[in-house]
Amino acid sequence: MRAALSKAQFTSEFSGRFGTALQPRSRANNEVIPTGIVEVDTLIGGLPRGAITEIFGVISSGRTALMLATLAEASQRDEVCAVVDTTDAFDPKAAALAGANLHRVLWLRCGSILEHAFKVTDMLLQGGGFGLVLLDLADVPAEESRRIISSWWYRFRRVVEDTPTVFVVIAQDLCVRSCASLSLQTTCESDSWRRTAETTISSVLLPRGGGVSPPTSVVEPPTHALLFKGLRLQLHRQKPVNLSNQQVKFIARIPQSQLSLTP
Amino acid sequence: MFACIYSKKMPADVSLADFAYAFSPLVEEADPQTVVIDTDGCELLFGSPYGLANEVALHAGKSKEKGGLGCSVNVAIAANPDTAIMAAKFYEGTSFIAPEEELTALGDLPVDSLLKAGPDAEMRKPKDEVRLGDWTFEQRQLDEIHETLRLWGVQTLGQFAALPLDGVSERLGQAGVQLQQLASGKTERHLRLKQSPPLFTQSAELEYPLSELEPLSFILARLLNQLCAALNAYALATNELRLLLQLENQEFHSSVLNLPYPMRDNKIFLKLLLLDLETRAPQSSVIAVKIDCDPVKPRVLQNGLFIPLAPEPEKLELTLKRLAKLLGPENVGSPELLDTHRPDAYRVRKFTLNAKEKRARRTQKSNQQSSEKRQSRLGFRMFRPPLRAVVESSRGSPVRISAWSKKLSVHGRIVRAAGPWRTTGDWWRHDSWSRDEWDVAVERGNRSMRVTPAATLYRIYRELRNGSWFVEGSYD
Repeated sequence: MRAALSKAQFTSEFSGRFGTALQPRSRANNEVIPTGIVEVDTLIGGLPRGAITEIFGVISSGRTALMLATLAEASQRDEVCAVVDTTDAFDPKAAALAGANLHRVLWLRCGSILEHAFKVTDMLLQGGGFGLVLLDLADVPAEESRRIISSWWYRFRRVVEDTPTVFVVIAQDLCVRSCASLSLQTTCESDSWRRTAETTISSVLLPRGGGVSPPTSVVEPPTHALLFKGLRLQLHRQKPVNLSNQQVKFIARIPQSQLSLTP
Repeated sequence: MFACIYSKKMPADVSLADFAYAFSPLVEEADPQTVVIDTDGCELLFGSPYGLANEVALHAGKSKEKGGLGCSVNVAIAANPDTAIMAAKFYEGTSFIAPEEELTALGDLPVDSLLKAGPDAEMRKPKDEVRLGDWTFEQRQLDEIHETLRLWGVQTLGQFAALPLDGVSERLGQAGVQLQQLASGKTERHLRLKQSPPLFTQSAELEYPLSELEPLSFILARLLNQLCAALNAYALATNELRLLLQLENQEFHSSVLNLPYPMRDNKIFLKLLLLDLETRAPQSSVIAVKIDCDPVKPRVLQNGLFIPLAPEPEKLELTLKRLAKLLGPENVGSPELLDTHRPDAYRVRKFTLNAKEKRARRTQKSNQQSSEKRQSRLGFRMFRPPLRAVVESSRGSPVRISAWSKKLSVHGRIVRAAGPWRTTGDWWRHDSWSRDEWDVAVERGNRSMRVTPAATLYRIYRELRNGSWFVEGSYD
């Protein structure tokens, strides 16, 4: 309380000399772009322009699904998108199946060199004009991403804040921290499989001495009768905190066209 | 004053315009046999316009080796170009028509000399356009006026010029009035100067070899300034810039900048060339520099309120060049899927913003979107190169997996597996592929995870040729 009072006193005393420099900067841009996932957009409204959004979670928790959905949404609006692929993990086919217009996507492969990824991101943000910049650190070990010096994030936040660019960072664990305007954690609730043949099949065991023995045991159906269908995912909003509504569930499915390709 | 040079029998391998440039830089080429030069300012060299005419006639008779034409020419001096042209065509040798004496000189010439002038007069079609003086007429118009004048009994230019202006205007129209002005030698116009096609090339030979990029950048900046000034003067831009460096070891270093849009910004060009030279440095010191470009029309852009955000083309090109320098050109671009079932088949093409393609794509995508219900799609992360794995199988189904690399590791019990999905292809090529794919759920380890672990989903496959197992990537 005392600190707040002294700050107010200090501001009122020196505001004549320093103008608005002592006042907090008001955000000029309150625009958002939708992620393309209805449940997520209902929770967060969309990803903010001119700010850093952090999405983190373990492997198979839906980070890439959220990234591709956002990429598809932005590229279909004819915005120019850039994917800074730190570990060369971006799959163009998965992006196309998610609905991304690859003609509007600039893909930058950094060969697992973290320093290159940050330099590239800096060049893109300084160059300006991109609607969406995705920094993919999802395969960078959490210990390593936590060691990224915070000055990079402060620099990115300063560069991006007066632009209409949506800057999204995907990682295994929290790394942007206070520089992120929106922080989302993804978790996997369960994986979903579909059984194509419900009949149980008895195995026929051949005795060592030859001849045919009658069915002796009932075993699980063959593995090719199963189909991996998708993941049931949860999204927790870590920042900004909103006590009334903090999490949402959604299902990320394997695209039908991908299933049809499998013989 | 204007001097017209006319040659009836000119050799085919010489140009009358080139010959005329030896006397004045202000030359109009009326047709290949006729040129007009402006004599203003030639007094110091030739004394008077008449002196110039004599000099032209004298030089024209000389052989080609001595700078002549190798044939005789008619030269006529007059106060306006059209009178000079008509006089040169019909008076042999050198003729001088003083101001206000045009009608006296041209009055006896037949009307045909005006209305059926030119080497191809007999071959013209009715709709062909004929340029006389500052005006353009249709051949049909000229034929009609010629026939009318014949019926009136008008045979010479003097008789035509003597007709009352109002009557000519009423009966022959505006074309008749213009032709009457030509006949009386009372036109006033500027020369339509013949200009040599501009060359957008700049070059410099250096006094001493340059081995460093910084001093070379000053040379490049000067040449690019001049090149862009020339482009600017002609309201042109370029989409291809070529740099040729002559090296001290008698070799050449060349680089070509293919720009996605026509540009003429010398600063951008300089940065692009320097980035290119930093990426591919010349093998030896530079002794000469040459820059040239293909001139094209500049890009016309209509901005709109609803056009989505995009980087400025010049800035984007510069950013892409810088990114290519850092990551390598093969790692920067737009992904393009190949038309094959081969796994992970794509190529990286140069990233450009093409408006036409964009519009077509949008329509296609929106149709696709409307037909297919919007659902969130599961992502897939590739492991490049695939992780070699050790897989334990039980009754043909994988039950345990172990794969390691520097930064990635996949190991544990497989709790659920779907497969095998056999895919093969390109059997006629040496890089054919055949494999059995599995979708597997691997039990997640409990190492320092802050959330309750579910299984991790991977796509693994077994090469049919050698039976090796690999992890292709993870579902995410």
